[in-house]
Amino acid sequence: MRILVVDDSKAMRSIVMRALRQAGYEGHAFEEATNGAEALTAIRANPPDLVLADWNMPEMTGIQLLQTLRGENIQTRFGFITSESSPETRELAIASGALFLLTKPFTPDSLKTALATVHL
Amino acid sequence: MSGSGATIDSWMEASLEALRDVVVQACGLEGLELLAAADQMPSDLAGAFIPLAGEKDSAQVGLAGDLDARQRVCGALMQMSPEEAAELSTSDVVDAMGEIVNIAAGGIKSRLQPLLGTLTMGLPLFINGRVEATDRVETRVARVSAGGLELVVVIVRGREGR
Repeated sequence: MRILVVDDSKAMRSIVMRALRQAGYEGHAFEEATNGAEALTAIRANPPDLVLADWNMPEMTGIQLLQTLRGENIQTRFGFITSESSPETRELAIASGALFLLTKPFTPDSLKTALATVHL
Repeated sequence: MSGSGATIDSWMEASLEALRDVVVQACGLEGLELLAAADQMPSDLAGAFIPLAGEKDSAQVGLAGDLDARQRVCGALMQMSPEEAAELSTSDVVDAMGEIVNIAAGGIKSRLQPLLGTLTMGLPLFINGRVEATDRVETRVARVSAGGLELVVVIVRGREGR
Protein backbone atom coordinates (compact mmCIF):
# COMPACT_ATOMS: atom_id res chain seq x y z
CA MET A 1 0.00 0.00 0.00
CA ARG A 2 1.21 3.53 -0.82
CA ILE A 3 0.68 6.36 1.67
CA LEU A 4 1.32 9.97 0.61
CA VAL A 5 2.31 12.28 3.48
CA VAL A 6 1.69 15.95 2.67
CA ASP A 7 3.14 18.60 4.96
CA ASP A 8 5.29 21.68 4.36
CA SER A 9 7.44 20.75 7.36
CA LYS A 10 10.14 18.17 6.69
CA ALA A 11 10.28 17.47 10.43
CA MET A 12 6.55 16.73 10.56
CA ARG A 13 6.68 14.46 7.50
CA SER A 14 9.41 12.48 9.28
CA ILE A 15 7.36 12.37 12.48
CA VAL A 16 4.26 11.15 10.65
CA MET A 17 6.20 8.43 8.81
CA ARG A 18 7.89 7.33 12.02
CA ALA A 19 4.52 7.21 13.78
CA LEU A 20 3.11 5.13 10.92
CA ARG A 21 5.92 2.62 11.37
CA GLN A 22 5.38 2.59 15.14
CA ALA A 23 1.65 2.11 14.58
CA GLY A 24 2.30 -1.06 12.59
CA TYR A 25 2.43 0.30 9.04
CA GLU A 26 6.15 -0.27 8.56
CA GLY A 27 5.68 -2.51 5.54
CA HIS A 28 3.99 0.15 3.43
CA ALA A 29 5.51 2.55 0.93
CA PHE A 30 5.64 6.17 2.08
CA GLU A 31 5.76 9.06 -0.36
CA GLU A 32 6.08 12.77 0.45
CA ALA A 33 4.79 16.07 -0.87
CA THR A 34 5.57 19.51 0.53
CA ASN A 35 2.26 21.24 -0.20
CA GLY A 36 -1.16 20.65 -1.67
CA ALA A 37 -0.19 21.62 -5.20
CA GLU A 38 2.70 19.18 -5.29
CA ALA A 39 0.46 16.48 -3.84
CA LEU A 40 -2.25 17.15 -6.42
CA THR A 41 0.20 16.62 -9.27
CA ALA A 42 1.44 13.38 -7.71
CA ILE A 43 -2.07 12.07 -6.99
CA ARG A 44 -3.37 12.86 -10.49
CA ALA A 45 -0.40 10.97 -11.96
CA ASN A 46 -0.70 7.91 -9.73
CA PRO A 47 -3.26 7.98 -6.91
CA PRO A 48 -1.92 6.49 -3.65
CA ASP A 49 -4.03 4.30 -1.35
CA LEU A 50 -4.14 6.95 1.36
CA VAL A 51 -3.29 10.65 1.71
CA LEU A 52 -2.36 12.08 5.11
CA ALA A 53 -2.27 15.86 4.81
CA ASP A 54 -1.66 18.93 6.91
CA TRP A 55 -4.26 21.71 6.71
CA ASN A 56 -2.22 24.94 6.53
CA MET A 57 0.35 24.82 3.75
CA PRO A 58 1.67 27.26 1.15
CA GLU A 59 0.66 26.98 -2.53
CA MET A 60 -2.46 24.91 -1.80
CA THR A 61 -3.94 24.07 1.59
CA GLY A 62 -4.98 20.60 2.63
CA ILE A 63 -8.69 21.34 2.37
CA GLN A 64 -8.22 22.87 -1.09
CA LEU A 65 -6.39 19.71 -2.09
CA LEU A 66 -9.19 17.47 -0.83
CA GLN A 67 -11.93 19.55 -2.45
CA THR A 68 -10.04 19.62 -5.75
CA LEU A 69 -9.61 15.84 -5.69
CA ARG A 70 -13.28 15.24 -4.99
CA GLY A 71 -14.23 17.80 -7.64
CA GLU A 72 -12.26 15.70 -10.12
CA ASN A 73 -13.91 12.53 -8.77
CA ILE A 74 -10.61 11.22 -7.42
CA GLN A 75 -11.77 9.21 -4.40
CA THR A 76 -8.41 8.46 -2.76
CA ARG A 77 -8.82 7.89 0.98
CA PHE A 78 -7.86 11.06 2.78
CA GLY A 79 -7.13 12.03 6.40
CA PHE A 80 -5.90 15.22 8.01
CA ILE A 81 -3.10 15.49 10.57
CA THR A 82 -3.17 19.10 11.63
CA SER A 83 -2.93 21.54 14.49
CA GLU A 84 -6.35 22.88 13.42
CA SER A 85 -8.92 21.34 15.72
CA SER A 86 -11.99 23.55 15.88
CA PRO A 87 -15.42 21.92 15.41
CA GLU A 88 -15.89 24.01 12.25
CA THR A 89 -12.63 22.71 10.80
CA ARG A 90 -13.54 19.13 11.63
CA GLU A 91 -17.02 19.52 10.12
CA LEU A 92 -15.61 21.01 6.92
CA ALA A 93 -13.04 18.22 6.65
CA ILE A 94 -15.61 15.46 7.03
CA ALA A 95 -18.17 17.19 4.79
CA SER A 96 -15.51 17.50 2.11
CA GLY A 97 -14.77 13.79 2.22
CA ALA A 98 -12.01 13.31 4.80
CA LEU A 99 -12.17 10.11 6.81
CA PHE A 100 -10.71 11.66 9.94
CA LEU A 101 -8.96 14.70 11.36
CA LEU A 102 -6.18 13.92 13.83
CA THR A 103 -4.98 16.84 15.91
CA LYS A 104 -1.28 17.55 16.52
CA PRO A 105 0.37 16.73 18.83
CA PHE A 106 -0.55 13.11 18.23
CA THR A 107 0.85 9.75 19.26
CA PRO A 108 1.39 6.54 17.28
CA ASP A 109 -1.56 5.11 19.22
CA SER A 110 -3.90 7.94 18.25
CA LEU A 111 -2.76 7.60 14.63
CA LYS A 112 -3.40 3.86 14.79
CA THR A 113 -6.88 4.51 16.18
CA ALA A 114 -7.64 7.00 13.40
CA LEU A 115 -6.35 4.63 10.72
CA ALA A 116 -8.42 1.77 12.13
CA THR A 117 -11.48 3.55 10.73
CA VAL A 118 -10.01 3.59 7.24
CA HIS A 119 -9.99 -0.17 6.53
CA LEU A 120 -6.70 -0.16 4.68
CA MET B 1 -6.70 47.35 26.77
CA SER B 2 -8.85 46.37 23.87
CA GLY B 3 -12.51 45.48 23.76
CA SER B 4 -11.73 41.99 22.51
CA GLY B 5 -12.17 40.27 25.86
CA ALA B 6 -8.57 39.09 25.84
CA THR B 7 -5.45 40.79 27.12
CA ILE B 8 -1.85 40.19 26.24
CA ASP B 9 -1.64 38.22 29.46
CA SER B 10 -4.46 35.98 28.17
CA TRP B 11 -2.36 35.38 25.07
CA MET B 12 0.73 34.57 27.13
CA GLU B 13 -1.18 32.23 29.43
CA ALA B 14 -2.73 30.37 26.48
CA SER B 15 0.65 30.23 24.72
CA LEU B 16 2.46 28.80 27.72
CA GLU B 17 -0.23 26.15 28.20
CA ALA B 18 -0.20 25.21 24.52
CA LEU B 19 3.60 25.11 24.38
CA ARG B 20 3.63 22.96 27.50
CA ASP B 21 1.43 20.43 25.68
CA VAL B 22 3.80 20.45 22.71
CA VAL B 23 7.03 20.04 24.64
CA VAL B 24 5.56 17.27 26.80
CA GLN B 25 3.46 15.36 24.25
CA ALA B 26 5.40 15.94 21.02
CA CYS B 27 8.94 16.46 22.31
CA GLY B 28 8.82 14.12 25.30
CA LEU B 29 10.31 16.73 27.62
CA GLU B 30 9.38 16.82 31.29
CA GLY B 31 7.41 20.04 31.30
CA LEU B 32 7.54 23.76 30.79
CA GLU B 33 8.26 26.03 33.74
CA LEU B 34 8.09 29.80 33.81
CA LEU B 35 11.40 31.27 34.96
CA ALA B 36 10.78 35.00 34.54
CA ALA B 37 8.45 37.40 32.77
CA ALA B 38 9.28 40.76 31.18
CA ASP B 39 7.93 43.42 28.85
CA GLN B 40 11.22 44.11 27.10
CA MET B 41 12.25 42.27 23.96
CA PRO B 42 15.61 40.52 24.17
CA SER B 43 18.28 42.44 22.26
CA ASP B 44 19.09 39.35 20.21
CA LEU B 45 16.49 36.82 19.25
CA ALA B 46 16.43 33.69 17.11
CA GLY B 47 13.24 31.74 16.86
CA ALA B 48 10.02 30.92 15.07
CA PHE B 49 6.94 33.15 15.09
CA ILE B 50 3.41 32.37 13.96
CA PRO B 51 0.61 34.88 13.38
CA LEU B 52 -2.88 34.36 14.76
CA ALA B 53 -5.54 36.79 13.64
CA GLY B 54 -9.24 37.21 14.23
CA GLU B 55 -11.92 39.85 13.92
CA LYS B 56 -11.29 41.12 17.45
CA ASP B 57 -7.61 40.57 18.06
CA SER B 58 -4.33 39.46 16.55
CA ALA B 59 -0.85 38.58 17.72
CA GLN B 60 2.40 36.93 16.78
CA VAL B 61 3.55 34.15 19.08
CA GLY B 62 7.23 33.29 19.08
CA LEU B 63 9.51 30.66 20.57
CA ALA B 64 13.20 31.50 20.63
CA GLY B 65 16.41 30.34 22.21
CA ASP B 66 20.12 30.02 21.72
CA LEU B 67 21.47 27.59 19.13
CA ASP B 68 22.00 24.75 21.59
CA ALA B 69 18.47 25.05 23.02
CA ARG B 70 16.94 25.32 19.55
CA GLN B 71 18.79 22.25 18.31
CA ARG B 72 17.92 20.24 21.41
CA VAL B 73 14.21 21.07 21.45
CA CYS B 74 14.00 20.33 17.71
CA GLY B 75 15.96 17.11 18.24
CA ALA B 76 13.51 16.14 20.96
CA LEU B 77 10.62 16.73 18.55
CA MET B 78 12.28 14.34 16.12
CA GLN B 79 13.24 11.83 18.86
CA MET B 80 16.96 12.39 18.32
CA SER B 81 19.74 11.97 20.84
CA PRO B 82 21.49 15.19 22.00
CA GLU B 83 24.47 14.18 19.82
CA GLU B 84 22.25 13.82 16.74
CA ALA B 85 20.45 17.06 17.57
CA ALA B 86 23.77 18.92 17.68
CA GLU B 87 24.24 17.96 14.03
CA LEU B 88 20.91 19.46 12.89
CA SER B 89 21.37 21.98 10.11
CA THR B 90 20.08 25.54 10.26
CA SER B 91 17.33 24.72 7.78
CA ASP B 92 16.25 21.67 9.81
CA VAL B 93 16.08 23.81 12.97
CA VAL B 94 14.14 26.57 11.19
CA ASP B 95 11.69 23.98 9.88
CA ALA B 96 11.24 22.17 13.21
CA MET B 97 10.94 25.35 15.28
CA GLY B 98 8.25 26.47 12.86
CA GLU B 99 6.43 23.19 13.37
CA ILE B 100 6.60 23.54 17.16
CA VAL B 101 4.94 26.97 17.06
CA ASN B 102 2.49 25.72 14.44
CA ILE B 103 1.35 22.88 16.71
CA ALA B 104 1.20 25.26 19.66
CA ALA B 105 -0.90 27.72 17.63
CA GLY B 106 -3.67 25.16 17.35
CA GLY B 107 -3.80 24.91 21.14
CA ILE B 108 -3.70 28.69 21.51
CA LYS B 109 -6.62 29.02 19.09
CA SER B 110 -8.77 26.59 21.00
CA ARG B 111 -7.91 28.16 24.36
CA LEU B 112 -8.71 31.70 23.19
CA GLN B 113 -11.80 30.80 21.17
CA PRO B 114 -14.21 31.50 24.06
CA LEU B 115 -12.78 35.04 24.33
CA LEU B 116 -12.00 35.83 20.72
CA GLY B 117 -14.01 33.56 18.48
CA THR B 118 -12.26 32.00 15.51
CA LEU B 119 -8.61 32.87 14.99
CA THR B 120 -6.88 32.18 11.70
CA MET B 121 -3.35 30.83 11.73
CA GLY B 122 -0.72 32.02 9.31
CA LEU B 123 2.43 30.22 8.30
CA PRO B 124 5.44 30.26 10.65
CA LEU B 125 8.35 32.61 10.08
CA PHE B 126 11.87 32.36 11.52
CA ILE B 127 13.44 35.57 12.83
CA ASN B 128 17.13 35.87 13.63
CA GLY B 129 17.97 39.29 15.01
CA ARG B 130 16.24 42.06 16.88
CA VAL B 131 12.49 42.60 16.85
CA GLU B 132 11.74 46.32 16.99
CA ALA B 133 8.38 46.75 18.66
CA THR B 134 6.60 50.02 17.81
CA ASP B 135 4.11 51.88 19.97
CA ARG B 136 1.36 50.24 17.90
CA VAL B 137 2.09 46.88 19.51
CA GLU B 138 2.52 45.61 23.03
CA THR B 139 4.87 42.81 23.92
CA ARG B 140 5.35 40.19 26.60
CA VAL B 141 8.36 37.98 27.05
CA ALA B 142 8.61 34.90 29.22
CA ARG B 143 11.81 33.03 29.91
CA VAL B 144 10.90 29.35 30.34
CA SER B 145 12.58 26.05 31.00
CA ALA B 146 11.42 23.14 28.85
CA GLY B 147 12.89 20.00 30.34
CA GLY B 148 15.95 22.02 31.35
CA LEU B 149 16.26 23.83 28.00
CA GLU B 150 16.04 27.58 28.40
CA LEU B 151 13.74 29.15 25.82
CA VAL B 152 11.96 32.46 25.39
CA VAL B 153 8.26 32.84 24.58
CA VAL B 154 7.36 36.13 22.93
CA ILE B 155 3.95 37.70 22.30
CA VAL B 156 3.66 40.71 19.99
CA ARG B 157 0.07 41.94 19.97
CA GLY B 158 -1.51 44.85 18.21
CA ARG B 159 -2.75 47.51 20.61
CA GLU B 160 -6.52 47.82 20.75
CA GLY B 161 -6.52 44.24 19.54
CA ARG B 162 -5.48 45.20 16.00
